[in-house]
Amino acid sequence: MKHTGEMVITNEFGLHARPAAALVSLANKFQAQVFLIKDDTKVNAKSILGVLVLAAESGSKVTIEAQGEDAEEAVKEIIEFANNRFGTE
Amino acid sequence: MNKATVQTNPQEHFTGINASPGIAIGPILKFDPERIVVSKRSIEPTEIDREIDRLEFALKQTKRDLRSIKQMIANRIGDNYAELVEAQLLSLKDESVLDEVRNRIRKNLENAEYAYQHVLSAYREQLEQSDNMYMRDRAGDVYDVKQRVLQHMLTGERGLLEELEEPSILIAKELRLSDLIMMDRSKVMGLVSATGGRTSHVAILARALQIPAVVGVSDIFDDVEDALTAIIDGTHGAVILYPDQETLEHFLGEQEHIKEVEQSLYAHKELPAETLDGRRIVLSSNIGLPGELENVRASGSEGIGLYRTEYLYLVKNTFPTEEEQFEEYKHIAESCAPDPVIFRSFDLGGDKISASMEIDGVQESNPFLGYRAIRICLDNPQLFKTQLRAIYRASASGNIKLMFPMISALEEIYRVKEFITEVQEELQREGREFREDIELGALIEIPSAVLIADQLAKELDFFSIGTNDLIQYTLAVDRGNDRVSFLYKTLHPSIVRLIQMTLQAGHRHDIWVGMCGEMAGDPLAIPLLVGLGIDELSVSPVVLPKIKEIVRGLESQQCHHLAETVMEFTREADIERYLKQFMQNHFPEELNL
Repeated sequence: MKHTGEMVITNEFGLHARPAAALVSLANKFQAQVFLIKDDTKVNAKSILGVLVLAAESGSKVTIEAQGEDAEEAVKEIIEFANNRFGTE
Repeated sequence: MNKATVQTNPQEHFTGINASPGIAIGPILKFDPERIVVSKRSIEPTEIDREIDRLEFALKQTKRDLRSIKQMIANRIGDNYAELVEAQLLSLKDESVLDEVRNRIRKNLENAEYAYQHVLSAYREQLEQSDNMYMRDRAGDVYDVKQRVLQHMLTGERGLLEELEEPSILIAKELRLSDLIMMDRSKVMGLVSATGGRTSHVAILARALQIPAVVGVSDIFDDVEDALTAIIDGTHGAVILYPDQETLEHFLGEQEHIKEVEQSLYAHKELPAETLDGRRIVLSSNIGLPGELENVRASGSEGIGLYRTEYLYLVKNTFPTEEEQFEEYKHIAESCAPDPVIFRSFDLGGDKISASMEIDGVQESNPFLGYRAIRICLDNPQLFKTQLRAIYRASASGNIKLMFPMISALEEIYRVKEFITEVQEELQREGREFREDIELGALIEIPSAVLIADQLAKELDFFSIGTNDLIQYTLAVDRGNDRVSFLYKTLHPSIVRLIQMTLQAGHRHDIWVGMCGEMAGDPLAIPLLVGLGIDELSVSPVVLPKIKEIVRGLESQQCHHLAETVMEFTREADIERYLKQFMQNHFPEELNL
């Protein structure tokens, strides 16, 4: 099952070190494959370097795409986490 | 005595920036992480498992390295700084990146180091191209991790840093924070770096760890030969390679002499800083990292007269959160209590990286007259309020004072106070503990602030004179510019007058006036400052014992007369000669260094 959703990055300095690390550790809790898409770049949400390369600044919109058993939950929880600024500020 | 031997190479002399004081003499270790050479090799399918094992082994070793670095940073500098390593550990453990590497080994039949180098370099390049400074900084982390892993793959157990078998002087093109921390302090006699300034990581850490260091010595790296002798004089910013017998003896004598003087001075650390007739001068320390607290205690300092809060930013390379700041400020305040700690709000810009560059990518043509210090804080309410909240919260744990750099007008103090009121109301609403009435002061370092010192004094509890900027702004001289640096005169009559005006204005309004600039640590200036009525001197912990010894040898009436005479002189040279004569008449030679 493939699920998608969209999140807006609200952290002051974007999806950088700490928020990125928090996002990656959340993504790793799911069985599903999770990808993040911004503009033309698609990266693995379970990879810290991938997420950093995405360079999502404050205010940018990022699409979440998940495939696998718990894909729906993964998308939902990641969006919620983004709304809470990834628990870092 | 160390194994210094006379060389056959001709002696070579280099000058750089005096980043951390002291003299070191010892064998050279040329530190070059770049010398790792990775070449591509096609492997046989039967070798795949072996290559994967090599990769896993190197990853395991690197993880061990990074964990021990993290522990060391936490112990020597402060817990807050250990997080730097966390970013590297995360990059190291990135499974999806490692899968790419394993795939290349399996499918492309590439050797492990080439596959790893290839994949990591691609990520690094992408990060480097980012418009965002935080992302670009992560490129440095990826580079660090990559170099470490390759080192382990290519050299087995032995990393470059483990080559430090005997105490050495490290000469490098560039030293990274992690390189420096990883080193065994007892094996590093001194540091020389071809790049960097006084506020680079190397300089900040070398001072904290009390390792003599000279940075910004361009052209030194390529020709340096391992194992031969070098002398570094971190006090004066000199590096001498392959010294001849005469030079060597001179510096060995100098080193011995400094040691003797220090020992005799540290023996007096419990005695108060007061003149022969009982006038007390508060003698405190200038520091910027929690790891320096030990030096403060050892020096016999009465608290901290200048805590450079921006080091937390400079070392971490990102703006610290409120909690991170709170923890650090609280720790510092508790460690010094009941002695005071004066926190200076973020003093970024000028020579401490171009703040506007970092914040919004604007390159200023004249950063010293630009976006720096209090100007950045007032322009970034979120940043400033976060710091003020952390400082006020920490105020419940000790004797905290707060001062603001680069004050040029009274309006700035009004605006600062509005921020403080806002922050206090917030903290009150949240039910947090804090002291409402901590002393507030201005760093007096712009001539306009001196001219309105009486007006500022009505709004503040103290002044602290910052001499380096005051001199450069008054005389309009950039000390780093060789063609005009001769005009930079610490004892210029105008500077002495500005100091006197600040003291008089402060005292007329019953506030205390201190000095935290370089002049406060210059023995020659002490009798004059005492004569002008200075209340506090804040200096590097290294020179503090010497300054105390001088204060203890002075008599206040005599200093007062000396100051009156100095005010009559019209030329800097006369002032300097007069003060030198006074020092020679009253103090033994070793205090005049």
